[in-house]
Amino acid sequence: MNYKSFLNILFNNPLVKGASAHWWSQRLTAVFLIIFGGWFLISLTTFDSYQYAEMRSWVGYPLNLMMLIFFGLSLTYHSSLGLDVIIEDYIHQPSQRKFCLNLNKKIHLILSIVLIVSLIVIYYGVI
Amino acid sequence: MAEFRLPLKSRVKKGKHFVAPGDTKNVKRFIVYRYDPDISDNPRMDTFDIDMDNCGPMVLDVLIKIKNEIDPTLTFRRSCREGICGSCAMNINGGNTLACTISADSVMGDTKIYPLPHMPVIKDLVPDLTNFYAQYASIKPWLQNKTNPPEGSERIQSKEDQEKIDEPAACILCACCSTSCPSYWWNSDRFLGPAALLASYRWLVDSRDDAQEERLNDLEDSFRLYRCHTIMNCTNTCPKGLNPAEAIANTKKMLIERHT
Repeated sequence: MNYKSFLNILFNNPLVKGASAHWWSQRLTAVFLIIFGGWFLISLTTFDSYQYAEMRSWVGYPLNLMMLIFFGLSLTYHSSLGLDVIIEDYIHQPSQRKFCLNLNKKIHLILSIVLIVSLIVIYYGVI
Repeated sequence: MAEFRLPLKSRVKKGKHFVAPGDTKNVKRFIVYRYDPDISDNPRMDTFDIDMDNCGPMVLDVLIKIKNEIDPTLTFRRSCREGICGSCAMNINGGNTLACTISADSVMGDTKIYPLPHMPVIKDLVPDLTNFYAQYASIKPWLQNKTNPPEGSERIQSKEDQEKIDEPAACILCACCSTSCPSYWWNSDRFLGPAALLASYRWLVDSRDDAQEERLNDLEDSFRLYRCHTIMNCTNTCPKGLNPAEAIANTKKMLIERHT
């Protein structure tokens, strides 16, 4: 796969669906995690005190907020996809598997909402 | 849910010990899995001390010697003796391989011989491969073409196109790869396994086959193809030196790229 077809799939491929979409999303979010995770780790090295006030002022920059939201969403989505695979591997009883897959999706959806709300609350300095 | 202990009747016990004659100098010990469904007893591991000065060099020669001279009830599959038929696939000292192509001297210390892992055992070293063959049949391993071949001629292939199928077509269906795959152990009822997927890839890249789209649609499933987690045991164990993991990775790429 050359880089042109990779970009084509990345941006122009709503047709990838089903099991392929799940597999492709895992790879895609893994790439995002490397990018956003790298940015996050580098950012951590730039702080002086790691105190709440300094962290809050850092999140207060819109670009940092956006990057943190993308990082968090990539993390929760990647985690959800990974746990899907583990559940499908190890839970063989169909009704239990379906229940665990649904539970996994809901937990990660709640985690994503909590993450976004928390970051926005910090951004606006409510707490 | 996952089972962490073998069922009571599947726990393996220590079996009989067949000692070599007293004047034997070159003795090698073989510990062989035994299970007889006609006897209501647990499987056991029998120990055979073999005089290697009066035995052929391969592990299959040892098993034939045991069957001919020591215990005629020992049961195993074998046919060609030269790595072509795949009948004598078994687990030898922890690795799936063909008993006819592995030298008894190449295994250090005692040699433990089991049937292929995680398959129902019919008797001793003979696994039940019914599901394995059904999965192979499910990928439709034959040419599917909507047009007739040219009048009085074969369907011509270029050398480059033929080279694409040379390796996957060399699979002998010994089941060493599929039975070494943990994903296949956990989900062999739905995951096709490396052998069937390698066979599927052989037809996907065949320039004479017209059913690529249908074949890919059949594989578009979270179990049939995507249980492969690139563990690579299949490639590591293949006694023919093939690379099922690469074929599976290429199939996944074909599934993504067909929409570009």
